[in-house]
Amino acid sequence: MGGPCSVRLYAASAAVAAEVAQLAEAQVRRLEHKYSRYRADSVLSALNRQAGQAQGALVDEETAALLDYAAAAWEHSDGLFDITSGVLRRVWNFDANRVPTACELAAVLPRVGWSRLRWERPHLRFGVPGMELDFGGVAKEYAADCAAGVCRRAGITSGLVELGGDIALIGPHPDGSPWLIGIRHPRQPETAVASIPLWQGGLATSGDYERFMLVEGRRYCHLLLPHSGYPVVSALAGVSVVADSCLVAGTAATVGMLKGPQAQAWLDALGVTALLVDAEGQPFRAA
Amino acid sequence: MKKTCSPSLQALTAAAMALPGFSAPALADAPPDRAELGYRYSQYQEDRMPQSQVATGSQERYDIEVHQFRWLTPLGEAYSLAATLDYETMSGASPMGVSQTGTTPALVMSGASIADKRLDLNLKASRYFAEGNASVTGGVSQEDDYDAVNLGLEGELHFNQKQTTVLGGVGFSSDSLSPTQAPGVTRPTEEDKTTLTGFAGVAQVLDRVSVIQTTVTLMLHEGYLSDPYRSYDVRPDSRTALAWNTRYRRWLDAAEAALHLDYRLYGDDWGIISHTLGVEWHQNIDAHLRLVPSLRYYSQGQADFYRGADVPGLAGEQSSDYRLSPYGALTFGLAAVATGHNWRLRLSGERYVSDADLALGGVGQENPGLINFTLVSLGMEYLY
Repeated sequence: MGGPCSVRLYAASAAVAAEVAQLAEAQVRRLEHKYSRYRADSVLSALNRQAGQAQGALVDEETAALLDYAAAAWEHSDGLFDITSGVLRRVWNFDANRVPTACELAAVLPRVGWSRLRWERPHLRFGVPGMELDFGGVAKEYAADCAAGVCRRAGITSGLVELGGDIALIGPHPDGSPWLIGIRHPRQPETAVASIPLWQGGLATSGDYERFMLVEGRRYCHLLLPHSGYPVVSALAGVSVVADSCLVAGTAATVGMLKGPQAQAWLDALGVTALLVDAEGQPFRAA
Repeated sequence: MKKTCSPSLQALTAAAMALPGFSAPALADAPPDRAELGYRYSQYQEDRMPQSQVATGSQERYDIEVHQFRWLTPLGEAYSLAATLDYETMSGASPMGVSQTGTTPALVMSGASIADKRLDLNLKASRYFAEGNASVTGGVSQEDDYDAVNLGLEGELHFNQKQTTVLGGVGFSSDSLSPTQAPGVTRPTEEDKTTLTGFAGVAQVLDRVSVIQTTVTLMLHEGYLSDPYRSYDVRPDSRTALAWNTRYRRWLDAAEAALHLDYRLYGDDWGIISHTLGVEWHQNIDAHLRLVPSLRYYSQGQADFYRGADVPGLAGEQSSDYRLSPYGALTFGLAAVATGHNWRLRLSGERYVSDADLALGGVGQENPGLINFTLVSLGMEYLY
């Protein structure tokens, strides 16, 4: 799933803890396998192949619910949260340290856009050849929520699941006190800039540091705007959001980053608790 | 820090909650996720009667041993099946009547030769829906002198994100008696009775730590309702009873304990009115062990046709059964429950004492047949 993954929980015995943690891990592995874009045998890869064909693809219940979620996220983010924007990575090669030409971008942009999908549950068809879905912004967060749910159903009431920095709570410490989640400095990963108390729900962080490149003194981050195809440019370096689930927190954090200077206003209007930091790890203020 | 939830956030949250593996499906009613196999051994022992209360016959009362086997298994995504099998062996003596020869009434007891076995099998099949569950129940019970079959339907509907539950059910049982005959005693040979039961109730989650449930049950008994082993026992051939049960549960964070309060009001057209008040304290000692002390108070008034002593030759209804007499009772209990990740052990003991002085209001003459008993049981469950 990328990044460190851990399950922390209180159980009656070490054996119970190990057994429940195993159930949680199995759930995460199941979803990783199902929605990996790197595996040719994943459900997502099959979906991308079939949805491009004339007859489209028939989607399973869970994937359909994720598509419905992605539709809601797209609708309520002014189109910024778009699971079709993954094809932009074809031209944005962060390892090659090269900014794509306008021509290259113009060639892929028509393949980006949730509105170009034909999604009529349970049928999915790409309206434009060469489109692709990427569950990178939902699968990990959803997996954390699922793993926490598995633990709760196994009777665990205190604990948390962390997948690559995103957190889903099983429940507060046994004495009812919150978990204190450290928020890392965007440029010094070993330093925490703040700590957020969490009793329930989830916390997710989106930052400009996950992947980026410096070309001719300019910093290009991996957060690509689906409308223009270019990375977002702002002094905002990281957004952490607390919500009822890790999934919603992740979506809000991603959209917050893509909103750039309007991040705080948008997150306030959404009604979530958020922490915004600039590149120095200081509270972010729109210029 | 609490912010207002915008329509956008509500839409996102609703879409998230629709995902399987999320809280929405977890909220839906689901069969148990593991099968359970349980066994419980109970020993029930009534105190020996003092000589002064027995006119003739044995001073022994009943001893009962119960072996209960229980099996519960999920069947696929939406069904479960539960089966319980009880095997009881009873021995001892029972009151045949009350005679008043001197100033105080005394029991006429049978000899201590009664020995019987009871086999009881009950099945329950349940179907789980998004908003509730429905079950079909059925059972048979067999003794040397008693056979019974029962059938039932019951269900629960959840509303308001499972904060409110409406429950109800109907049941039917058909019993046939074939009393053991004894030389020199005239007893009925074959008798029947039927019982119709209906109940309806509502449970409401009050807040994070408390819940209340109230249920009304109506029971209609018809047929032979007398005790065939009592010499002078003639009861009406129908009995209509109404019971109102209220249960309150509250978790106390600071004490790591739960308080259970139960109250039951019962009345029937035989004239009996009773009150039961129960208190249980479920104290968690640590993650594996819980202690449950309990106290229950019971008080009932007498049936209209109850007589303190048998009146031979009286026309019409009469009974000197202590169960129809006015009395009160206290039950003291203590249980220890140990839990592991796939097992549960429960050891419990109960002491029951009944006395006319414990009844609400005054009782003129105590029935000599009132019992005191001790109940000890050990149960184990295995989850797989």
